[in-house]
Amino acid sequence: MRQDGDGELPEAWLTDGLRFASARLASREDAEDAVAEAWAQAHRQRRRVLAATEPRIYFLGIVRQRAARKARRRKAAEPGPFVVGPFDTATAERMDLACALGALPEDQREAVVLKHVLGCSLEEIGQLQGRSPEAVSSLLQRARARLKAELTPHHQETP
Amino acid sequence: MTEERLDTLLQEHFAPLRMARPPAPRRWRAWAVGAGGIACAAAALLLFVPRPLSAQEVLDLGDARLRDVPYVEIRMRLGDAPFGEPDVLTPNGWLIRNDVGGSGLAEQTKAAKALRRIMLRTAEGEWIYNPGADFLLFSKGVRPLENDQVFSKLFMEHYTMPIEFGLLVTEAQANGVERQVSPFEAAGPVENERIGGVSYRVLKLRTNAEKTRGFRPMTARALFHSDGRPHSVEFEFVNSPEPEQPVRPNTRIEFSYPALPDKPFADFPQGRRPNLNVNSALGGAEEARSASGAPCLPEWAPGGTVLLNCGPVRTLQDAAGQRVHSQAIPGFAPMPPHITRAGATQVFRDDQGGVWYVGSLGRRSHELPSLALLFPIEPVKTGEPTFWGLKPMGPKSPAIAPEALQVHLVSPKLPGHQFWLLKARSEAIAGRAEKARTAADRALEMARSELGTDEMYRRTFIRWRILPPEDGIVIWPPLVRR
Repeated sequence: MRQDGDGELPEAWLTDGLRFASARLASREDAEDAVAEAWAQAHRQRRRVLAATEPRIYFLGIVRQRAARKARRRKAAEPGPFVVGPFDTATAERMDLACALGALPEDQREAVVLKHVLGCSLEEIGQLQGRSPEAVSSLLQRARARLKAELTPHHQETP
Repeated sequence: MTEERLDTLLQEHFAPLRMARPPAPRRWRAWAVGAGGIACAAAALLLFVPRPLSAQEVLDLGDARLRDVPYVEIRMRLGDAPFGEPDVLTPNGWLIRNDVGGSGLAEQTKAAKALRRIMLRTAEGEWIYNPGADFLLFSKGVRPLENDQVFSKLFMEHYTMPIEFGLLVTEAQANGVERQVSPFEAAGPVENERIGGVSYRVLKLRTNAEKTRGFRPMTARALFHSDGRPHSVEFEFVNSPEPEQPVRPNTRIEFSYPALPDKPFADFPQGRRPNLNVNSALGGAEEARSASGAPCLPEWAPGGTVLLNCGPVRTLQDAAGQRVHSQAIPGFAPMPPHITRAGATQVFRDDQGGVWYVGSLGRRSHELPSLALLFPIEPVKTGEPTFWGLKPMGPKSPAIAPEALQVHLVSPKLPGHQFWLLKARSEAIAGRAEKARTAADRALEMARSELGTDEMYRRTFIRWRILPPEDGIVIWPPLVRR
């Protein structure tokens, strides 16, 4: 039952959710579905969602679950995690980055996406992943180190 | 590689993702099956519009998924009444439920659910209006009285609270009686019609009376005022995939509803959550016919009881001919203790000759101490769906709040399930009650194994809590949904 105090879910979350899900799922269609399902679920649980400390992060958590479920179903067909749409493959460096991102452990990839796509803070990422901000920071540092290690041999910058 | 370079690469790499936006809805597609589907499609057209549309924008209905509509969970399996159709939730929170309150079995669950949403019953037994329901839309089969009775009981007699805004879509369905109504005839608009003391804004939508069964692929076009108010919806049958049920091609049907509120939907009062129930009395009713051909009628009994009657059965007798179940409507006599005992072998013969079985679902969790199923064995004939369940109420049933009720039958139509069910039937007919029970349990397990427990529950079974014998059988708890 709807009660006083119930609010509407900000539609801006949809965009965030779509970007987040798109980073997880190879198929744009799946990403939209995941967000649609998450949105519906959030509507059903809107009181709980809106009462959360970070409602947006709570919603992203729902998206995360839905996306993960879809990813499992599509596992066989999924070319790889975090294939980011029609990205520019003009340079080998970018292609290597895409490969390097794909090779990252899932939690690291997720943290990178949350930071660089959605601009989430360490606290927000930590809330979503169940980590402390310090642990997220460490996670991101490890991710970056791995990315650099993957990229550096092929793309040594000129000193 | 420097940190700055990595940042740059990451920024470039994720740029497309950062630019990603939900697509604007342009074309909506949905298969509309039967009048319920039509109504649902109409509802979709009315409600899935997050922004004003120009009058020229064409909304095509054609696909079950409304794939092109972002962020709309719509998994209407229109026409698949036995399993029911999941809710449809629009981005702005509209909830659409199709097949609510029809005389079919699956619909009855939705009726109960819908009732839960729009009505609440206090501990004192008072019916109160669920403030979460602003909008009630259901299509009601203008078919025999029994539907009217159902609806009057479900929605009208008890529904005495004012509705902010209601839209009643009425289907005219001939139910075998040839009627020539223009395909969609706007019988309204009727503004502020009072039904059972409730003031509705009513749109009466009448469908073509001829052959309303079967797939009715159609396109629909919705026209909206410049401020976003819907103006009209035009439907166009494309063709019929069922030759035996021809549909005149390219029949244009349309209706308009000037009775709709003269304000955009966005102007609904804050804090009001529209609740839309689209009902069809068609699909399920047709499939829910008993062996005698009589429709299986859901009945609404006072005290918050939703009773499903498969066929003309109103009275059950045990094997000795003892009446265990008094005339159903209104209210029930208490079930005798031996019926309520979970796991007990119970095969009954009703006064119409139907054999019924009480089976137990066993324990699913501590929350469900036991579950029992009562389903007809005898009335099941080849070609007829299998129905599970019957809901007798115990003497304490009036204390059960309607929102706690959940009734549903399931007709899995699964081969293994059917096999065991038929075996249960044959065993019951042969008088081997224990074997009948075992076979019926096997049928249930088959349904569970083939559907999966969650799916089986999602599709809903009757879940009955078996209270102490003196308390009778009470439906409990509400449907578990995932």
